Amino acid sequence: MKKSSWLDRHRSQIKEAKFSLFLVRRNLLILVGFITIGVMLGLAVFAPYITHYDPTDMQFSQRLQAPSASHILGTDDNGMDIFSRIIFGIRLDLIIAIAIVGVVAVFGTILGVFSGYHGGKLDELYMRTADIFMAFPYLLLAMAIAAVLGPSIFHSIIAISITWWPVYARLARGATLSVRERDFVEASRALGARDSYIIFRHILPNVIAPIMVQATLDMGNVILEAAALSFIGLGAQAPQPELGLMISIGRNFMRDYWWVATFPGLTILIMVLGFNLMGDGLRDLLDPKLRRSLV
Amino acid sequence: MTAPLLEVKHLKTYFYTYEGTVRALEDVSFHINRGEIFGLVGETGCGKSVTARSAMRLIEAPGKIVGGEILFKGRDLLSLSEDELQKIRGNQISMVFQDPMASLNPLMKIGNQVAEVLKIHKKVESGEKLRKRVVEILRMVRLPSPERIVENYPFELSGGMRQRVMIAMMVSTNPELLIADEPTTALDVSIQAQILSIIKSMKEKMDVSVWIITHDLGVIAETCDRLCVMYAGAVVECGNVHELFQNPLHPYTQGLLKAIPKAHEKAERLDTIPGSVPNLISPPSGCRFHPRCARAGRECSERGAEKVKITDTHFVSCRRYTEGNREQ
Amino acid sequence: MNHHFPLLRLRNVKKYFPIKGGVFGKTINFVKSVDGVSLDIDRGRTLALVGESGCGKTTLGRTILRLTNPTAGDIYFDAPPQAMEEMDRLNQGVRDGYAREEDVKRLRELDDRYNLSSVTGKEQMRLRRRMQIVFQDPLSSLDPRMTIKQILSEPFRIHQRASREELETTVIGLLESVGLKQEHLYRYPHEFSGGQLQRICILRAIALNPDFLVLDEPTSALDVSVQAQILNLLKDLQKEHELTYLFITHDLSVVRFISTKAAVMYLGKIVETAPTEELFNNALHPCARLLLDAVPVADPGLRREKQLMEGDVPTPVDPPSGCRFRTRCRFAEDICSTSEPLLEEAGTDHLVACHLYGRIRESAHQTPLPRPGL
Repeated sequence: MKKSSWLDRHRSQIKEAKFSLFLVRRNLLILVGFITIGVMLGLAVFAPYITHYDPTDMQFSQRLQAPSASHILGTDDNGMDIFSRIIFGIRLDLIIAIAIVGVVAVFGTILGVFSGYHGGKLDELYMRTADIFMAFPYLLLAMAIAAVLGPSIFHSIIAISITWWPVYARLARGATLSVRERDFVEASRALGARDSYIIFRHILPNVIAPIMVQATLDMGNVILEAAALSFIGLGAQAPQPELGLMISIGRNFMRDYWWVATFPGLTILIMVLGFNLMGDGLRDLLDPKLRRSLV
Repeated sequence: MTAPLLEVKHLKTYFYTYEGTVRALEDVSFHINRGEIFGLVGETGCGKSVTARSAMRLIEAPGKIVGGEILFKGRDLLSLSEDELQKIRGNQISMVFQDPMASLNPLMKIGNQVAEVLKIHKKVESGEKLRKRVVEILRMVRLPSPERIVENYPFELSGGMRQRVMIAMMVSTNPELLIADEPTTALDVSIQAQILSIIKSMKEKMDVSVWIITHDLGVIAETCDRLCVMYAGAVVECGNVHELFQNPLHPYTQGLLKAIPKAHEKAERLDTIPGSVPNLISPPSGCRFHPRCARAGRECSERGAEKVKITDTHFVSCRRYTEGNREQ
Repeated sequence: MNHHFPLLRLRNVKKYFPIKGGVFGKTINFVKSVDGVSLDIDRGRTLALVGESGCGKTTLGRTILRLTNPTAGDIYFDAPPQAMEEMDRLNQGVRDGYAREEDVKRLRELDDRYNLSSVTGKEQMRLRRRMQIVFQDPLSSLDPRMTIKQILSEPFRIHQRASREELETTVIGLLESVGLKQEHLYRYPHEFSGGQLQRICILRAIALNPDFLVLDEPTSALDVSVQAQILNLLKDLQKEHELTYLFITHDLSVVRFISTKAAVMYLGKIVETAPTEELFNNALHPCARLLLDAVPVADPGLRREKQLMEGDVPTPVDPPSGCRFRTRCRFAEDICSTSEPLLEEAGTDHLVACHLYGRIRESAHQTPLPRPGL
């Protein structure tokens, strides 16, 4: 009997990965989603190397120039190159989205799993609290925070996070309730496993799938909310390259200098669409029953 | 000798999946006579459900019926259009599935569901006549207080009662053939006995032929007149119920019968069939049972099984069959 | 030490599930799943627990393992006769009111050691190693996201019984003992057949060398030929490791093969218990007789008109008064609705809970299962 090699140990996982790849290739929309996000990520990571313009560099002599060879997407009313601002805007918005979704998903999931697993009065308490937070309009909260602490990206992140975590708590709790009843959890208990062991080794890995799908879809939603807050002035402040802010600025020039608002708008559209397609695709890929029927 | 009601000839059904082509049915042939209860028995994966669904043309992608004929009263079902099939499905051939809860609409009252079947096939006009017919049918399957049950929803009934409602719905149109796919598998033994008794009485009262699909040889022994045994997508033996149980010839049939624990005698050990069911993407060459067969020879793997007629009713697909009476 | 005493002794075990209702969620009624069960299971033997769905057999199995806590009653595990006598004496003292303080203390000590209903903490962990369970559906009993190696390592990991290096070797040894291979270590449950999965579940249950195994319909979801393999395996394992089984099933033909003693349950109560052969040859309770009669026999030569049980299985929420089976019993008389029959001896080791069994026996036209050759 020889020791198992790396290949032996991962053969099943490699098979599953290959199958996933096959499914993605077959489904055009999922593929488009993945590619779009991939491109966005690439742009975000390599932003400084793609453009030689500084996104906050104001050149008043160049203001409101139409798209041309030197400024691919034109310039805005401060003379800043729109293309660079968009690239850096993608980077900024992605960072904001990852920050929010990351924190909110982790926090909400852990709370939801504990709540769902233990049930009882504590569960009731957590869920009603979540309901309250969720019912709160994020706009009002953002305004309140901005009024007290001043408007900034960081404060808008706080406002959005506070109202967003209940989504994950709810989702995780629901998934936990169904996993909790499954035989293999009983079997673990029969073996003598403690609750914490069961939660981390059995419950969490089995509820991760819908959380991941939700997180992917939420990336798009969060970008929309963050952009909206910046649009009304509660988030990013000039001259930060934030897509919503750029639309807000460009709004005043829509008639004669349409490119200032349109390109940032299109970018947001593409990003959100990309995340939605990717999220839907992930849902299909991760659902075991759906996987088999997609063949 | 009257022509059979249903004749399946050389049926081939394949499933084209990512991992390869699953040859679910490879040259399946058998027939069902009028006025008999016919059993198709086999273990998981042998293709018995696929056969029934192929007969009803209910196979969907990635599956496809790639060959053969299914003659119902002389007409080949595989050549009919979808419109013509609609007239036959539910009307002349009805199918009862394993899980009645999944087949009943949870949001519709029982009475309405049964009535719907009658209305679709234009058997009875709506109104008082329809209502009376629905109650009559429910009474026929021995449901208690049918006048009250018509007002119930499926979740208010027990599993056994739901299965009876299914049967009622399926025989309401006076079909000539009733296909029952694992009708008693999810039910308690006592309820099973009731359902089988109802099926038998259906045959008497309504002159309907019944095709039962199951893995339970006990159910077959109790209810069927004739049966066929399937293994890995092929029919291995056919015969009337007495000759097959008393004189099974195919090694698989013999193995199966020996593996059943007998309720009426005590045993120390159960005989098992070595090996396991083959993968139908790359099935064994020739006779699909040969890797597990103690009597297999070169011709079995090279030339496959040969269909041999033992009596007018008893057929076996094997080159090396032998007499093998069950030990008493 | 003399080990010929029952491994498990159940005394009047009850499990009620509260039904909440009303605006404030008060408890309005109970589902009396297990309503006073007393049983003895001998060491190294198999007791079959038979009954229809809803009779409480699964709940009883889970209660014994403390997967759910009993509402009342005692479950004594591996208690030698002297300890049992002492506990009975002390319990009687408590009931009659003359127990002294040190008696109560002593009783608690004994309970903590032998009474599964009351153990907690470390003792419970220790006892968990000695009793395990195998479920009906092997696929849902295994975490779909874990490899076989992780699944089989779990018992060792939880009880810290093996080092990491030893784990792989130990697990491979386990796999090979039931005909599986090293290459199966890193595969996932969905890649296996039902029979293979059930073997893995059984391996997981015996990994830490338990004394007692609850088998809850372990072969009901399997094909006939696979069932035969698993049943043979269970018998072999029992001999090899001196295991004691509680075999829960609704399939009476399996009962005859696997068990030495059988108990029939109906709506939370035991209605008959006897050595298996005796039950098959001479079942006395109408429920047992009807169950035996209803079993489909794989022999068309033995077809017969069956006595069918009337009606459907009732729910254990509001069981019928007196004898619970009377609503489905052909022989029911007045006394059956006014007074609940208790288990009484009708033969060696043969207990029945029926007021009329003697008369039924005389008037029966045939024994439950027909003999071949008639």
